Amino acid sequence: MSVKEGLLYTKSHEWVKEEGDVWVVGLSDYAQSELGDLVFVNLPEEGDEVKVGESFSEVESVKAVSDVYSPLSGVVCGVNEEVLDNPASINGAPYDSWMIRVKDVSDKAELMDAAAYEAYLKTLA
Amino acid sequence: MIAYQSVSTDPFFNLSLEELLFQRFRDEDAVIVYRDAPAVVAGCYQNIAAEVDAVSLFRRGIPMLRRISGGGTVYHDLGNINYSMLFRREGFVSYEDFLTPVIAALGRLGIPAERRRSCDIALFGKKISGSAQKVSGGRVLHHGTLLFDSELSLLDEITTGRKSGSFCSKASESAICTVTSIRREGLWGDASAEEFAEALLSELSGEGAVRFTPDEGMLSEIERLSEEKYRSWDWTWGKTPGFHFEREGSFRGDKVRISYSARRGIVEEFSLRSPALDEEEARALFEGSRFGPESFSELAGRLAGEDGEELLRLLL
Repeated sequence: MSVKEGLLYTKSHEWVKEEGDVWVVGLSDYAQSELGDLVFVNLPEEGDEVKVGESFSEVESVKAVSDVYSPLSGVVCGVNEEVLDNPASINGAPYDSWMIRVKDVSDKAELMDAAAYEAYLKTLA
Repeated sequence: MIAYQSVSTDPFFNLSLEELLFQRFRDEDAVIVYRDAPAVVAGCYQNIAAEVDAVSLFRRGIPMLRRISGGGTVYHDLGNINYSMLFRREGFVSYEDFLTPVIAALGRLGIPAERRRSCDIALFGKKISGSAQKVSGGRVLHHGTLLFDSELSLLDEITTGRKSGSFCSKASESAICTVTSIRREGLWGDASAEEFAEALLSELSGEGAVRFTPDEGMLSEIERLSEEKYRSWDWTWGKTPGFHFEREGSFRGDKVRISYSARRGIVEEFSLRSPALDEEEARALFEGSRFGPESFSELAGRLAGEDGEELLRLLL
């Protein structure tokens, strides 16, 4: 299971990356591997608000619809059309397949660096 | 463990009941069983019109519903038993923890069922049960169909009759399987579907399960959810994943070409080319309209008069 350096992670297996005023959000390699082949991704629209711990997206895999939780509170300022068109790209390259960009970030979930997330994953095995 | 067999056979009510109990039971696990009057129930991210013949179902008065779990389109009738397991569970989708006890319960009821593919259960090599999940907030809603004594010819006609190549989208597609039922295989010949559902509920919920009855307040909440969500156009048709539709056919004996797209269920880029109809009028009527058999039926009638039905069948 790969954990990418330089990203921050939540306990619910989203990754985030700060790029200036904007934060980028995606699903970790562990999440995509546990979910299995993704067949559908639903994302919010630009301008929608997201809140820490609330579902901002749903993904479908193996006939299951799973909530994806927001690591941040803020306003969506970018949506990756690529993952909407090709949900399997999250399986293939989870750290390149960002889901949303968030601006005006007012709150963050508890975030772990790569080493801490790796240690956390070991506790789940 | 809480156990409940719904007293309603209204598919809108039962999907609402299931969702409401999924939200409400935070610290308890629950098993519910229910049977529905004839209905078609599609997965959360499906285009219903691409899966079934929506016009025929609309004309026959068989309701089409969208559920909150993933997966494909199924047909419910009173001979089909739906079971739902609403369990606390951290982590991700997994069928093992649910299908193993269901298969064991069927075994104790004298049904030698086996797991097939990731989410199906088979009896003597043919599918009798499919399942799907919704995973949210540390809980899993795992539910499945179980063919006890369903009208299999109608099920086949409805679920396999349509695989329209006219819709192009990212929506989830259904798998088509050969099915059988418990009764068809000569088992449980003397019991009614309701009696079998009760036996299944007892086996799935186990000894010591607490029987539950929704109170007046909860019943009115279920009715509200049924009205505001499951019976609404917004949920059933408005949630259709964005798609593009193209079809060539014949109308009033001439060639007709129809194409349109829809996002959030609202029709755009509508084009209808036919010597028999006014293209501008057609565009003005359909552009911005609601996707689905009800609104399309009305608009087709306005555009084509007594040939509205013929046109409707080309549009969906």
